[in-house]
Amino acid sequence: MIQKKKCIAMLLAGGQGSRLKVLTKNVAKPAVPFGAKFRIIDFPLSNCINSDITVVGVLTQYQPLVLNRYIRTGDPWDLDRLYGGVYVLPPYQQNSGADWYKGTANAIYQNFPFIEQYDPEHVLILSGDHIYTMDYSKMLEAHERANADATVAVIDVPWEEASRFGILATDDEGRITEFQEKPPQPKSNQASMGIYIFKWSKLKEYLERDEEDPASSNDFGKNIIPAMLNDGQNLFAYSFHGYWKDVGTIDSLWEANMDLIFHPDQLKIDNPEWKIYARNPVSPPHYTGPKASIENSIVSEGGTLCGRVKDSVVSYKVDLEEGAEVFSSVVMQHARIEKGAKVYNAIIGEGAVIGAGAVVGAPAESGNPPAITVVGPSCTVLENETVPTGAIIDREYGKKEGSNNG
Amino acid sequence: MANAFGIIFANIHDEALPQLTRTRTLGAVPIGGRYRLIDFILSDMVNSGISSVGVIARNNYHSLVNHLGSGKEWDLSRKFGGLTVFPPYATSSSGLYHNRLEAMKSVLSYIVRAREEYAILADSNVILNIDLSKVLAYHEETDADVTCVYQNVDLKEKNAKERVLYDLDESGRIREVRVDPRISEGNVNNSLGIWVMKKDLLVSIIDDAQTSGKHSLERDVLGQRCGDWKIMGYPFDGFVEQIRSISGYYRAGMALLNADVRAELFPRERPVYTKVHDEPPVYYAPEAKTSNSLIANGCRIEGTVENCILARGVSVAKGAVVRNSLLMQGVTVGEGSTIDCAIVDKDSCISPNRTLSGAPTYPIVIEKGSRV
Repeated sequence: MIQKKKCIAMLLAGGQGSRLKVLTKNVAKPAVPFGAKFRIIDFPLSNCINSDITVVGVLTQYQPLVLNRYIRTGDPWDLDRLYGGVYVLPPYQQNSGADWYKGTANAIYQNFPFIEQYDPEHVLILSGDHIYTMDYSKMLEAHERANADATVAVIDVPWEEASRFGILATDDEGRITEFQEKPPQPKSNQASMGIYIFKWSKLKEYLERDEEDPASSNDFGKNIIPAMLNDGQNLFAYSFHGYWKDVGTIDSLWEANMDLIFHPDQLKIDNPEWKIYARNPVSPPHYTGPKASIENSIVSEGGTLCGRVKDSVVSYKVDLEEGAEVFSSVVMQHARIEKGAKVYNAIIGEGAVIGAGAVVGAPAESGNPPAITVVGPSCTVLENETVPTGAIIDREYGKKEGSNNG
Repeated sequence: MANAFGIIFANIHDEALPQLTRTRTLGAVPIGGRYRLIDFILSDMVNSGISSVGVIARNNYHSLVNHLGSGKEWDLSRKFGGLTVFPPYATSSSGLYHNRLEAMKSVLSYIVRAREEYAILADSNVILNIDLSKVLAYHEETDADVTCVYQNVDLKEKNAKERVLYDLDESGRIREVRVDPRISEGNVNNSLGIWVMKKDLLVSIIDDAQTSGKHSLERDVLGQRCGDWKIMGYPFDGFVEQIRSISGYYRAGMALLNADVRAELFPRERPVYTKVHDEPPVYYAPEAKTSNSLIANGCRIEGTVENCILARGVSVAKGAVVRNSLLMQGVTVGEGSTIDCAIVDKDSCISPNRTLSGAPTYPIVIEKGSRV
C-alpha cells in the first residue's frame, strides 16, 4: 500500500564519529548521549515530528545495535505509524551484489525503493551530528515558494572559522552562486548545515548520474551539490537563525552540554511547544541525599546523589556517593562516582565507575579553556587513582593501559 | 507466562482521600513524584507474567483512562488480552456498583471469556512490589479454593480501623474473617486486598452474590465460606502501605525517602511502570539547596527543598522554602513562600511570600488547581 507523502526525511547516521574517540567505540555517533536524557539523534527526530514529517529513514552502517534498540518502533517520537514512521536502513545485499554505503549520496541511492514507496515530491536530507531545534516545515515552504530544485540550510558562522565549513555564496534573492568546500579564502560566512531539501525527481536524476561516475566520492557536499550548480539548476539557500552545534569532537560535545546550563535561552530543551523526545527507561525521580549539594546543574531521574554537583550535566540513574564531587562535567547514564572521588572538566561515559578517592582531571586554570578528560563507557578508574587532565581512559576493569592525550 | 488474568478495582476506597479523589479515582492518585497508585499493583501483575488485566472504574475516571491509555507502557497493548479499562456499566435496573461483587457482575462477560484458568483480584490502594507468581504457585501447591494475601502487623503501630483481618490456623488456612473489628492491640493478619481463585469459582461467586443478595466479597463470601472452602492466607512480609486516609497517604509518600523502602519498591528486576512524559531534566539554579528529597524531571529548583517529594514540572522560586511536603505535578511555589507538612495537589499555585504549615500527623491539603 502506497500512501503519498509530500516530503520524507532521510537521516544520515552512518558515521563512526572517530573524533569522539572512546565515546563512539561501541555506538554510532547519533546514539551518543547528550544533555542528561537525550541522544544526539533525538534532536533531528524530534524536529521531524514537530515539523509534521512522519516518514524518516535512518541510514546506518556502523555499530547499529544500540541505535536500532534505541529507535525500535519509533514510539517515543510518535513515529510508530500505520503509514510511514521511522525505519533503520542498513546496507543490504541485492541481486547485483552488496555494498557498504560508499558515501552520503550512495546511501540514499541504495535506498531508492524505500523512498519510492511514499512517492514523495521532496526529500529532506539530515545528518545525525548536530544539536539544534529547527522547523523543517518552514524550510520546505521556502523551498516550494522558490520552486527550488534544491534548498540548502545555511547558518552564519564567524569569518575566522568559515574555512572549516562548506561555504555558500548567494545572490540577493538567496540563489546559490557558488559552493566551496572548506575554502582557504571564504567568499562568505554562510556555512552549509548539511540539511538539504531536494525535489525528488531531480535528486533521483543526479544520484543516478553520480553513481555512474567511478571517480565520484558519492558525497552530497563534494559531488551532488556542485554538479547541480554546474548545470544551472535552481539552488537556494535557507538562512537559519538559532542554536546549531556540531558535537563531533570531545570539546564541542562538552561545550554543547555546558551551553544547556550557561545559555539555557539558546538551546531550549524545556519548550513545551517544541519538545525533544527520548526513549528513557522508567525510573523513580532522582534522590538527593541529606548532604547533597547541587548547584547550577541539570540532573535526570533515577539516580541517587549524595555528594556535590556544580556546573554539570548529570544523566539518569547516576549514583554519586557521599563526599564525591563533580565540577563542570558531563556524567552519562548509569555511571557511579564513589565516595570522595573528584571529577573536574570531564566526560564520564555510560556505566563508567570512578573509584573511591580517585581524581579525574583538574580544575581549569583561570582564563584557560580546560582540557577535557574522558572516561569511556563502562570503563573503571581505580580507587585513589589520578587521571591526568586531558587523558582518555579506554580500558576494561583492572587493566592499566597507557592513556593518550586527546 | 502466568495462567491468570488480573482484575483491579480502581475506585474502591475513594472515600479514604476525599480531597484528592474529587476529580480522579483512587487508582489515579499521584504518588512518589511520577507514579499513580494503580501503577504498583498493575506493574506487579505484569512483572509476574500476567498479560491480561481488566481495570474496573466507577466514576471520575478520565484521569485514569488518560494515564493508562492503551496499556503500552505496561507492555499491555496486546493482540490477545492486554489492558481493558471498564467504564461504569449501569443498566436501568442495576445502577452504579457499590462493591467489588457488583463491579465484577458488570464485567462478567469479560471474566467468562478470559482464556486463563485463574483470576487475581486486587484493590488499587496498595503500594507494594510483590511477585504474584509465587502467590499463584502457593495457591496451586496448597490446592486452595481461594488464596488471600495478608501481612502480619502490630496494631500498636497502625490502627485497625477499616481493616479486614484473617485468623489463620497452623496450616495457614483462614478460619475466620473479621471486618473492621474493634480491637486496638496485638499482632493481626491484615488483608492486603489481593485474592487468587479459579476463574470458574469467581464466576459462580458473582452469580450467587446476585441471586442471594451478597454485598461484600470478604464478609459475605470469604467470611461465610471459610468453613467449607479451603481459603489459604499467603503472608507477604515486604514493604507495604495501604492508603486509607490523608495522613496514611502522607506517611506512604514520605516513606519513599527511605533508601531501603525505595530498594524494595523499585528493584531493578521488577520495575514499576508508569506513563512516560517527556519532561526535561531537573534544573538546579546556582542558589538551589536540596536535601533528602525525590525530585522528578521537569522541576526547576531555585529555592530550598528539604524532605520533599516533588512531582514533574514543579517550580520552587528563589527564597522559597519547602519542607516535609508532597508537591504534585505542575505546582508553583512563589518567591519567599514557606511550605511545611503540606500536600499540594496538581497545578496549584502558591503566591509569593505565603506561609502554609501543617503537622506530620495532620498535613494541610491544597486541592487541585488552587491559587493560594
